Amino acid sequence: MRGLTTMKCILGYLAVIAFANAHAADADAAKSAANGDDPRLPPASVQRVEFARDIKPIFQKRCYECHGLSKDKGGLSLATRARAMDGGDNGKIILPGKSASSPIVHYTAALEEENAMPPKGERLSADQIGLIRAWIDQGAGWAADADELDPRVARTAEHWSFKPIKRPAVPAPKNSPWIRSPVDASILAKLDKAQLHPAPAASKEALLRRVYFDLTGLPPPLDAIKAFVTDSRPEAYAEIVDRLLASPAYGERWARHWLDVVRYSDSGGYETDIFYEQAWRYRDYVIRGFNEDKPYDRFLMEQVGGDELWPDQSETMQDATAVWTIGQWPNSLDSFPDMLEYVRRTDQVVTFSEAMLGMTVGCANCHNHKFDPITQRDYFGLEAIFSASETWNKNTNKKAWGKNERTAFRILRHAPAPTPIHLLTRGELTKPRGLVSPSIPAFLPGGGTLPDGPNESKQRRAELARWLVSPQNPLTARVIANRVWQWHFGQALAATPNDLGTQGLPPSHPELLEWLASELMESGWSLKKLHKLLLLSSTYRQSATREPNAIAADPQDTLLAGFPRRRLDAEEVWDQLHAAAGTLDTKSSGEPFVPKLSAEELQGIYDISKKPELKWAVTPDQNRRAIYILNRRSFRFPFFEAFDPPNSGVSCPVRQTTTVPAQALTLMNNSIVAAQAKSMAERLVREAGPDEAKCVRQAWLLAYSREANEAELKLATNFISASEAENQKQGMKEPHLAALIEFCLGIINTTEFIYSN
Amino acid sequence: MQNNHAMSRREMLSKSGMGIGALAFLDLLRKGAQAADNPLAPKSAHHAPKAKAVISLFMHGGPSQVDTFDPKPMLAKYAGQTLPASFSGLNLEFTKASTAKVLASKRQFKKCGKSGIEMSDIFQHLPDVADEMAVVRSCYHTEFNHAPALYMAHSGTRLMGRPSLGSWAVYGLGSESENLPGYVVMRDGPLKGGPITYSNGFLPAVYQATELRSSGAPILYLNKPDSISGTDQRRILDFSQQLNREYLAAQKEDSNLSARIAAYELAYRMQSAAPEAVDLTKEPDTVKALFGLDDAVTRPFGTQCLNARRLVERGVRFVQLYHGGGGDGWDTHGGNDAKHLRNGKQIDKPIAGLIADLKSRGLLDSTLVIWGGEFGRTPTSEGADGRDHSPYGYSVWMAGGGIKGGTVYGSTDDFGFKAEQNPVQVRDLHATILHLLGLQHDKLTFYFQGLQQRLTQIDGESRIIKEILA
Repeated sequence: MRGLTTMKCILGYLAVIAFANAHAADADAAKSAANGDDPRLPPASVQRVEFARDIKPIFQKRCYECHGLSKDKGGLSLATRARAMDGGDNGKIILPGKSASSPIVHYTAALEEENAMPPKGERLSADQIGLIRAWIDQGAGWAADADELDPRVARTAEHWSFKPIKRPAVPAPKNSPWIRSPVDASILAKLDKAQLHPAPAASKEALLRRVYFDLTGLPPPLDAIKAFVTDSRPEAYAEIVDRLLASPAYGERWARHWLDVVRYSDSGGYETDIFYEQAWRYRDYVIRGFNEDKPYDRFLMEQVGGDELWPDQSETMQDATAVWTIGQWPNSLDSFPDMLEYVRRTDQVVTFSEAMLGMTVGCANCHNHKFDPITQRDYFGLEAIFSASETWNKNTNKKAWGKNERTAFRILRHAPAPTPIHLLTRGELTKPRGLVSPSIPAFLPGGGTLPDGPNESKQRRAELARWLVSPQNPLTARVIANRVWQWHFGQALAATPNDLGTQGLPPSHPELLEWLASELMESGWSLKKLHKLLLLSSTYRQSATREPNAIAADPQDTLLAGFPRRRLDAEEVWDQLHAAAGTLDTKSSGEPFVPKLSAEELQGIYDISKKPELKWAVTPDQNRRAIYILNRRSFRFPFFEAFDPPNSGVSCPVRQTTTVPAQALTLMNNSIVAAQAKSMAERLVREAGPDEAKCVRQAWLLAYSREANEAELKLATNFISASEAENQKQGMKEPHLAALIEFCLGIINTTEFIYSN
Repeated sequence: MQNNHAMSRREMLSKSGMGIGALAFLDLLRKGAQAADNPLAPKSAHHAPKAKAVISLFMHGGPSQVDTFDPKPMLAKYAGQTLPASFSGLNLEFTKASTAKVLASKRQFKKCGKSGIEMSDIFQHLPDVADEMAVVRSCYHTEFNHAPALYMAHSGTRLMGRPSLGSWAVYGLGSESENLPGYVVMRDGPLKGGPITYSNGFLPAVYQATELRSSGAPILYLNKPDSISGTDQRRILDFSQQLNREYLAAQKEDSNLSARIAAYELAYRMQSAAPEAVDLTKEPDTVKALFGLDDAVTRPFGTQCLNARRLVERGVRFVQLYHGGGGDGWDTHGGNDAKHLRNGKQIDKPIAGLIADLKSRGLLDSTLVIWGGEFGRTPTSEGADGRDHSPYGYSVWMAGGGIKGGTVYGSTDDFGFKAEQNPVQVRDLHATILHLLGLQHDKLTFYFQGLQQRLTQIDGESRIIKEILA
């Protein structure tokens, strides 16, 4: 104990000496200034002052109530050396070597009544002020270990997602044939504990539809259904999984998940809603990445700093880093470039943190995070990383803004010189405090200020990228393993996938998430291997029908005593509609296509030049997959509106599933639905001929990926006959086709059509 | 041709061949849907509400305070001169506060009603209801461009895609209507912020606004497209719903699946209820005249206002109207005076009529009426006769549910540029509106981005403007 104290003293002393030597000239100047002191100031003490022993107790007793760790009134905190030297909203208060002109001395000596500190209670004594003066004159030394320890930082070490990833032992519940993998072992262990049982295996048809929608966003083709149902080989299912993972449709489905979390859009929003010509290249880059099973660590590195890491592959890296060029863009701010740049950096930091790091840092823009250990300094440290880059319009060869720009091909490139980043009081650009160097949040392993060097400004994102995927980063693997689980099972293991920080929800199956994260890293970050691991589990193959006691005990199905049934996403509803009708155009990649809309649907579109047709310029392609539909920030595709599309303003971690009348109205009365119902009816006639029962069987396979049962067959054929008779009575031209159209509309409006069990 | 959607529930059931069993089933669903499953079921407020419904009259483009509710005689005195240097720091979109010249208002102001609230002569009818109004002259925020200012006025932040006031209100209180959406928007043209201006943001889609259209079908996708006009929707729906019920039975219990069956029935009811709600043919001529429907100038906004009253009568929680969408509206960069006269004419009688009509029906006590834009305008000129955007001091007024009529609160400086006395931020307005609805702004929260989010934001204080409350 004693040794430690001595050590502290020596370190503190050494720091003071070092400082005093380096700033000897300053100190001399201060001395002469001190000779001309304001006579009202108490004289500086002559003793050698040691911060921890002499000054900190004064701060603790009289200042920390308002200027400590939890409160920083006026932007001032005296809790740490860095914060104290930064000063507050009105500037620096400690000028090392110059006590007579240091505001802290003026305040404590109450030179002006309205600025007197502390504002309540007794004034500091002349001796105390004299000590503070001496401390400042001697260089204001402050040993690192004299900083107040933030309890939030202490908590950091204990928080599950900030601890190093350690591969856990797999729980070994009772020996059960149900267990196919460690995934099942974990799930079963929790079910056992809750005295629940897994649901029986799903029917082959249900499983096939489930895995098709899950991996490709499309229903299984009819021949695949027939082949799978009749294939009794145990490996048949695994072969399907392999085949789907190898199909290009896989990337088109899974890219959509990623596009949600990186707030993908083809335009900038606000009044101008500038069109991003490069956005689709990023979308295609993501699709390719998934299809090629690009290792996830490489995938992240390319997006964060690909241009800096692999300059020889500039074209690919330009597409990858385009993720930073597609955020919200209020370009009517163009006469205030500093503000616009600030909006850009904020979007980049917030998106990076939520999508890739899995931490919510946006709050630290304005104040130290109330709950997480992330500080404003951490936040602006990240901004400083992005401040070395700028968005550039390739078309005009100018920095990417301009009020009249309707369209731009934007790229990320290095700015001629990095913008200096200041810590901003309450996040307000007009209230800068100290400069902040580019840094990674200090409380995370491997975090801290980026290395300096001659070329450092061209390596900032590269450094961030390397750290992001380094083995010491505890978050990245957990974040993506958690997301992949969510995208298969509908809910993430840790239910706040954009925030694994101390404010997020803890995982329902912690050891399972640990295991998946370590398995992912060991597999070389292969997402396809992770998919396979999950899809081949018994957990995934369960039926979606749960026992009443399981529903009662676990309404949210967190424990997975049955597969969580899910409503299809907006894009899947579109794709399913066209697939069932046989009209789906599977042309991949390229510029977005623009479906034709009625005047009614176009009513909400605002165009700054009063030419909405420029904003929604209909293309010849009409029936491609939904991922290729133009995605405008200021005008969402009306068909999607009712089906909980992502909010592309910020990262969207989870699609909601709501049930609203607008869904019914869309599926009953949207003209595209009507056209697809007609195509589907014609397809039935073409493929099944005049026999009603055959038509119904075919329709059931197209719509529900299963055979109709006898009762359904009867219900449906009766409906068609009755409709046809009615239509005949009304004198319709093609009463049979009209009846089939009504039948198909009816099918499209059933729950099962847009659900996967 | 369209089917006739305007049929009663009884007709619908008999026509669809659904017997008593089906009727009972629907009632069961309705009751079930009002239990915990239905997020739109009416919820109890945090405290006794003063207002049950809100009609927000939004003047898109930003009306000029010094030509409407904030008289500034100093402007005439200093016309043509630059402002004192203390204003130079204000950021403006098209002009510079340091060089722009003062532009006097051509309007005459007079004291109105017993309370003597001052209004400009662009309003001839509004003075009749002056004693119902509380004018806040000291509203301010920081956003001087339309889209961010629109987002600010609706959602309390300049960012796009955050939930708007109406969504928060329905999230907090649910809907009183079984056949109509809880949050309805009507506008005369597109907004500069796009439809996302009145978005539900991160709140679930059940709290999203439904747009009621002025021409064609009142709700998007309410009517069948021409291509399937011959189909019999009820027959199709009965077929679908039978399959849905069997699916529900086969899947055992799932509240989402039963909610979906209920949503289809609500959609079906909406198909007749929505056209009925906006069918003004049965309104007496005296009422139509009161709203100005007998005059081409006042008819468009008068129709919106009359529809708003009818919706509130039918239990709709939040009606958001826009005036000035599409064209330049209240965005008077040129011809400020002429455009204010024109706009004033269009809204004056309808709004006065709305307040009088609500009052005569006993609805004004429980309906909060709000008037304002995304910001005000500069007291200085842009070009010869325009005014630039200014968010630094502008007027908003409220009337009805819980408001102390005949009040003027807060003030701007002598030029009407900056809020000076009792400044009111957007979040203070929002906190006050929620308070009147029986909601505590700091308790109405939703988890998103790592935080319990709220309309009034988590950083900074919000103040309920008690001085304008009855």
